[in-house]
Amino acid sequence: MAYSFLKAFTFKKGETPIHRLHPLSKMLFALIMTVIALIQQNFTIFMIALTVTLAVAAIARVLRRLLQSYRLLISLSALIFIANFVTLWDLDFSVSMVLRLLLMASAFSVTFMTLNPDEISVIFSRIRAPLDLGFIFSSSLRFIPTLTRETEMIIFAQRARALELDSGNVFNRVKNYIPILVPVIVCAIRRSQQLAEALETRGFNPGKPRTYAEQPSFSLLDAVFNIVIVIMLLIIVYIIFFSSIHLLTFSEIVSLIMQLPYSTLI
Amino acid sequence: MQVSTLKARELTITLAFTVVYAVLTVALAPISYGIVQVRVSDALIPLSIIFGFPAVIGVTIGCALANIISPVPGLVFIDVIFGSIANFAASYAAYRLRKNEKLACIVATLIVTFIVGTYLPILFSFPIYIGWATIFIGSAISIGMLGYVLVQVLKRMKIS
Repeated sequence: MAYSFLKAFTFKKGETPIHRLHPLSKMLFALIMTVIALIQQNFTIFMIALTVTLAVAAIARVLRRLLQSYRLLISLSALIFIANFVTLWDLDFSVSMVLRLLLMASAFSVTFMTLNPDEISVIFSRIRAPLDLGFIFSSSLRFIPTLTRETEMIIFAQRARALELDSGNVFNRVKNYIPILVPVIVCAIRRSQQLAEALETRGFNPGKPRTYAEQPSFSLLDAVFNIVIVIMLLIIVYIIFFSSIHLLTFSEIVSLIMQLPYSTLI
Repeated sequence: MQVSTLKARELTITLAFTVVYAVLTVALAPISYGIVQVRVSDALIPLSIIFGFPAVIGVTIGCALANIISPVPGLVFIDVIFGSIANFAASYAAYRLRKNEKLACIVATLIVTFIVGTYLPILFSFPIYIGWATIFIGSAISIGMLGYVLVQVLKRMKIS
């Protein structure tokens, strides 16, 4: 069982310009990259947007973690590529669909790798989402390590009682999870009852407005970052929908590269 | 004005389901048999039969949270929206159909299959029937089978 994910997800404090951005600016970056990924299918544009995303990751010093995370995308990429290629027999389109996945995944990865969990409740309060939502989000982030440790302990305890998780056919394997799921849920419910009492004793009062100790504000850096990203989106929209510039596709670029040494030989 | 509308007890039950769903999604690697993946945490969806509306909200936010804490936060990014919608719809349906637990689990399975099995193929343009078939097998096992058994076991324990 791999619990290395805890290390991977733990947001690391950083002093890079990207970390200092307002949480909403980071979200805007991910959203605009997603829009770019969804409105077009051109190889060149995907490569430009992906380069920008990787550059942002490099500035935030999370490039290596981002590239490592690509390993986990391999199976989904393969499914997308094969399903597209077999049904449409179009190499360019299949490659573009894989790049669409990579671009969206990278943009969101960069955002969440640089987003302090505490800032998430700020986002919720800024977009005027219900307070409960922000509270649940930020306090769940606090409880995840606790519950992971508890889950780990339960798995070890059940294994010591000869529970096998990875044997048998798929139905048996699923059934083997019951002795783990039941205690995990029971523990979580018990903990939630203690937490409810703790909240009540600390004056948690539904129906009264809540106040914040700190509120991050927009800086000049945010303004510059947001304007650059939005201009990039506008240029891409202009090139794709309103201009007649020919953008190279994947197969064209490959054939260009293939021709180079060939033509120099002749 | 931001005000909290849930009672403390409901809020913390929601919190419990959010965390359990997220932790199980990320910690227990999906049982995969080739292309079919069984997400064990989906077995929590029909638990709204026992724990009511807080469980519905819990699995909804839990799905979004799982995407944030996973090592590839972006991997199932669209899941943050559509996966959460799927979980909400399925869990809410199970909650409304709580009188008939078998039917509730079946409906929940079908809802997840329909929503997730439709948006994945549309987004990455592969045939919808491939999406439906793979997601259906996975959720039939996790929601239909495991979820139903879990409801029966937890009901006898009377912990809510």
